[in-house]
Amino acid sequence: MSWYHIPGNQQDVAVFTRITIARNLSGHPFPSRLDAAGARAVLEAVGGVFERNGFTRTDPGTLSRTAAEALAEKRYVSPRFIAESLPHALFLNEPCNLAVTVCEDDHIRIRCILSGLALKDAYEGAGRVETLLDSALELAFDEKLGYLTANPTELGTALRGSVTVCLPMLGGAGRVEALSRSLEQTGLCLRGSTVDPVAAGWLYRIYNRTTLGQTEEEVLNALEGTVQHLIEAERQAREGISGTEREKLTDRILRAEGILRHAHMIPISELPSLLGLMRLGAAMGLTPAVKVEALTALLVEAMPATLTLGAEPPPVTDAQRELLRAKVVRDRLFGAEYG
Amino acid sequence: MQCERCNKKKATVFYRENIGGKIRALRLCGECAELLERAGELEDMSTALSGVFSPLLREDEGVCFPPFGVAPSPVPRNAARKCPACGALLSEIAATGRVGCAACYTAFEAELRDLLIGIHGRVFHRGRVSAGYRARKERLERMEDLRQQLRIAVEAEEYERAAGLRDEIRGLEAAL
Repeated sequence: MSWYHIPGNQQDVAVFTRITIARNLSGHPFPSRLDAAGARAVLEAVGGVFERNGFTRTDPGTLSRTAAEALAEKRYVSPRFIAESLPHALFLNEPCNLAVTVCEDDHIRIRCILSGLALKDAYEGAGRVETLLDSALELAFDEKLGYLTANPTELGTALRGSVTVCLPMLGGAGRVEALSRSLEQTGLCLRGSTVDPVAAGWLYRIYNRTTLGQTEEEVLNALEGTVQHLIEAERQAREGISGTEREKLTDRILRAEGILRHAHMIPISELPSLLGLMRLGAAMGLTPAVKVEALTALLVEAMPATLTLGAEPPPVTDAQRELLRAKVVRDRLFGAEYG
Repeated sequence: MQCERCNKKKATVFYRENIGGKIRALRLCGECAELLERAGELEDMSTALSGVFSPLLREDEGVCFPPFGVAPSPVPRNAARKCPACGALLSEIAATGRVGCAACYTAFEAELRDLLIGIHGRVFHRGRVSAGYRARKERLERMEDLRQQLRIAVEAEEYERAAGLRDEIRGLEAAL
């Protein structure tokens, strides 16, 4: 069971939460200035701590390209990490939704990923891992600048809290740009596609841009408050739609359900907007058959690498993947109906 | 500085990636950055430097400008200066947006100070502290307390006690 299988808090809008904490070991250059021997020394020191505490080590260099990309689709690592040339590794405690990368931009990046809005729980999870590390190894820390990171934009708490939200109503009405501008002075940032929000499934990410000068609790409280405000605004927009506009929207949602139910092939480019419309439809009571957590699961399971890994024999061409995607979507969303 | 993709608009997003040791740095306008990000060509935009490092990238100016159009800082820019610990050059830090090691923050404190204010609005950490720092701080506080007791013991001519306190202080000094 992974994070994307578990129903999330306020999942009608909040898709998933991720906390990232960056740390570096004292006395070692940061990864950009490490040679292979230096990186191995960091890996050995850090790896010991995690392997003793139930984490499983994965060396992306030993995986197939598809298996490595699947780790990025699950949000455990960045695509850049997979291609890193220095010795590097992932330590994963999947039942606990915890992933630690060693020798990415910083020596250590601890990630906790949970479905829905769960900033405090995710911070608690990542914080427990940080405590393990802190009690075993000397970390690079300065009284004035806090935790020292390779990127000066992450100094201080070196904590990035991020919530991915699905905002079809606010995004469709072009209100996200104004909301994003209003956040500029707050140290928070709202990002997503303003060029083609439909193709992106109206998924937006809100995260703290600044990390120095505010405690972890202050940052997370501010983030949670803003996410909650966005959730409320989206819900109000959903409830406020009426008349012909509501009929048109209902038609769009039910057409999307029709495609997901009956399409023989689903290209990846179509999927995010269809899933976004289903999330909206479920919240509006239009698609009672659809479980919202299944929509979150599909954002991982129907991605190219994860989809390929899960099939035997694995699809080879795009057309084979599109056929398989349509089947996986159908089984996930409407499997119970078809037995 | 123009956007490298459209060559029309001003570059406001400074993106850097390191794939397999191959560094790719792009200077883009907001729209092109978004198009490329959506096309999956820019991975981790959360660490992209939206205009923040642009002052340091203005190599021709000869001075380090604080961000957001504030007046030029009097800090002289010395791109060839090196961090004594890791050898990173100031020019490399400006180009990549990454420092080379923890000691870079001390070596380039003056140059980075304005930048940090520009990014974070503040330069003093609040929040969680490392166990190592906490232990050091407790040791320093304990040493200060012992020194105080030592002064009192010497004044009271309690030399045996003073010698014990002195040894304890030396032990703590060695541990630091």
